[in-house]
Amino acid sequence: MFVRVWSFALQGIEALPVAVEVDVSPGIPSFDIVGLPDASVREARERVRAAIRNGGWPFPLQRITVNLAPAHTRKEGAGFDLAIALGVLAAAGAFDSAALEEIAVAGELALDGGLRPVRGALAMALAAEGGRRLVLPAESAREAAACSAGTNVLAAPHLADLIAHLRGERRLEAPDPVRPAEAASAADVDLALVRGQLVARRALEVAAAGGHNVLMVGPPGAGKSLLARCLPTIMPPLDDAESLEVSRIYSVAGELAGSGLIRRRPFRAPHHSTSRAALLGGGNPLKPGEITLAHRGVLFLDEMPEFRRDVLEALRQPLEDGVVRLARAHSHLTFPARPTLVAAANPCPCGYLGDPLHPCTCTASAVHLYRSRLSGPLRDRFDLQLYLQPVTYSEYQASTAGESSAAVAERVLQARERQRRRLAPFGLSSNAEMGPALIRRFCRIPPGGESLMREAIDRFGLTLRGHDRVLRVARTLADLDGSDAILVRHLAEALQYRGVGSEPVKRWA
Amino acid sequence: MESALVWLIYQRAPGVGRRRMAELMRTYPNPEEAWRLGAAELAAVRGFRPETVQALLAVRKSAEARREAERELERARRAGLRVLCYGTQGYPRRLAEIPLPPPVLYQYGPWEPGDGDGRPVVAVVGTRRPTAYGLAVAEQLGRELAQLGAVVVSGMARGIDTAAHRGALSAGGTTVAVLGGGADVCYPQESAALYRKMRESGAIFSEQPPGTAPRPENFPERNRIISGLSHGVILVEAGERSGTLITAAHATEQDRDLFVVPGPITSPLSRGLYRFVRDGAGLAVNAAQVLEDMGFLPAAEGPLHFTPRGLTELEQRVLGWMGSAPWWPGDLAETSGLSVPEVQACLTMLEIRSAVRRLPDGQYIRIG
Repeated sequence: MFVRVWSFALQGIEALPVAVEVDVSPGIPSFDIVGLPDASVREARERVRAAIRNGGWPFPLQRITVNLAPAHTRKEGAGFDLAIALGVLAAAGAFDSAALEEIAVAGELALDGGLRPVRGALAMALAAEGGRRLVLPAESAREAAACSAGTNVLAAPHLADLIAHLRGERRLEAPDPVRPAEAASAADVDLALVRGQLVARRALEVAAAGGHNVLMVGPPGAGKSLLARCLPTIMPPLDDAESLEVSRIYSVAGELAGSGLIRRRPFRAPHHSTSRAALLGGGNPLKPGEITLAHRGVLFLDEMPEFRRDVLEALRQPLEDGVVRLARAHSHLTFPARPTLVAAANPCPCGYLGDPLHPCTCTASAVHLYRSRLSGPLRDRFDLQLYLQPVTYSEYQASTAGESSAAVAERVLQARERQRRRLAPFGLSSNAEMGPALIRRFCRIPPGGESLMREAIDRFGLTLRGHDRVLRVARTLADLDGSDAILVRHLAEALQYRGVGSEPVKRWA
Repeated sequence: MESALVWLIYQRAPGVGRRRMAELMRTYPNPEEAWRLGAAELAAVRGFRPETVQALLAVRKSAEARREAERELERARRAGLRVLCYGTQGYPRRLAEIPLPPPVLYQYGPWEPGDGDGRPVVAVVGTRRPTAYGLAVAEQLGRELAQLGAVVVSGMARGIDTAAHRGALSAGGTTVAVLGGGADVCYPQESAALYRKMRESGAIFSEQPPGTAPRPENFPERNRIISGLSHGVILVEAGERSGTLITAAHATEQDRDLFVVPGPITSPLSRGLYRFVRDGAGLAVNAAQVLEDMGFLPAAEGPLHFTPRGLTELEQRVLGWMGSAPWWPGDLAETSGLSVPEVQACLTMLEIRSAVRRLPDGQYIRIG
């Protein structure tokens, strides 16, 4: 007796339909799974056997063969449990297998037949859209129901509920609506909380407006983390397509946890001891890394020079391409990865270089080594580079609260709108994405600006890449200013963010 | 008999240290004459005991001492070092007058220290771990001193010393370093370029035999040569236990003019300097004033800062807000009431015109 049940395998953030073919035929009792299952899939045999017995059905003492097609892609995880169990039961005659053509299923089985959530429910709902009805464990179903394709989703708390549904005895319910509190919860930080740091506030506004990466160098306690956390609050809200895209990533990562679509821009702050696999994605089962979880949001690397060098270098390719490419034994996978990168560093290992009151205890060579960890090519990815000033308590007390995030976000939105009109024909959305050709086209140097840029190259040692960075930032400054043309004052301000480099250490030793 | 060989052999006698060498050289400054002294003449030197005399007579005959001394001179010759010998032509006159002059001094570089060329020689020394303010001031003083024609002496240590050397070089001036290791050993390593430049245009000195590794115990003694070569010494930042204080003590002992750069009273790096101010050290505000106080220049006229031409009204206002202290751009905006974009754009233009400079921590300081 042959039965086919439809399920899904996750590839990157996509769900690929997988046919779970089950054949039960006479012979010495056995239970084999083929079709490139990994160890976690093969363990399904034990869970399926127990769940079927404990559900009160007889487990067929025959030769059982399960094939996962297409057979050439590797299958991971416990999500095939439910499909295999249905196949075995249908082949054993527990219900009419014709009912299986209507549905696609995914779910991990508990030994008592209960259903546990799977990763990537949202991706599966999108893959099943317009076709078969999708049956998922209750929590996963709630996740999948958040998108427009969710009307097609049914929630099954237990294997027995699904069998009853397939026998036509009792209908499965649509999943509970999403808890609205999750979706609408307000950000816990706001730019109004930042005291002083006028230059950093301005830099954040420019970063949000143009999508530029930011590198902040400043002493401990200057508020680097708070500033970074504020950046998502002034970026334009996620539109529907972006929201779905981000939610799908979190669904695949298993971090959506039954809540609705993600509406807020993600903020991820991996610790500096983070491994390459955790940052870029990898592991077994394959999961997206922090850079993908920060897609369309902010990836904050605090104490960036403390990150392992190979980990930092590995960031360069995704930052360039907007996707992470992972090579696996049997395939290549890509995850989207287009975060705004915010990095923070101390001015030196002890943190007090340049502090008026604390003498710095680092040797010049230690400072040099510390700064050299931010290699030139990586540093070139940061359009905005700035120094933060130390904040003393009295200054903190004295300075007035600044503008709120909402007020800044308003200006950011307008600047983004100008960029969208200009860049949409090229498939781009922000100034930071402009390559050399578009820079030449849209960032005309104004009269009087040529000599300024020439002087900057001579005096500040501006590189060719640095030159382009300054022009991109100047374009954003002009957009914030509501100006079609870049003016000299925009170039002059942009040059202030030109670079916090190793050159001062060499000069000052 | 080579003059330098005399002192190099004598100083190898057991029981003869810097002090007894100094007494010997002061009593018999001519090395030729000193080599031929009899026991009675040696015994007449202040502080010499009979065993000192015996040791000196013995070392004169010692083949080993002679071989070692010759080897040292040979090594110096191979390294291309000039040998300055106490009591002969070319030995710096001011250095000969200090309590413990080095019998032999090795030199690289074209600067002629002999009788002096009438140019002021000023040492700028300070901590190896300065604040951004100290660095900026040391570099500025080095540059100003060089612009006014003075020779800048320091020890090529990290921090203040290096900044002073660099300042003088940036103005195309003469700057010389006295090292704690051999003159042919560049230390610290990262100052190799600086070392080369000084060797080409100024001078590198050391009393240590060529090839001597830099050892901390040699640095305090080295400091007496820094002040010994100079007319005056400027102290820029020193903690309470800084080696800079040893240079200052040498300067006082050697009767050199001592100047202190005022710093914030809250800074630990000002603390080492208080007592010199109490004891009458001068205040170093700029190079012209220091040289004037040392009696070298006529009184300076006009404003302390120069203002470059062609600034916009806004740029002039921003420059006007900045005194001599370093500023954070954010504070400048808050104080002046200008917007951050305005201040930032002005700072770039002022930087391009060399009216201000960004310090390594991101603050801006007015130049001039």
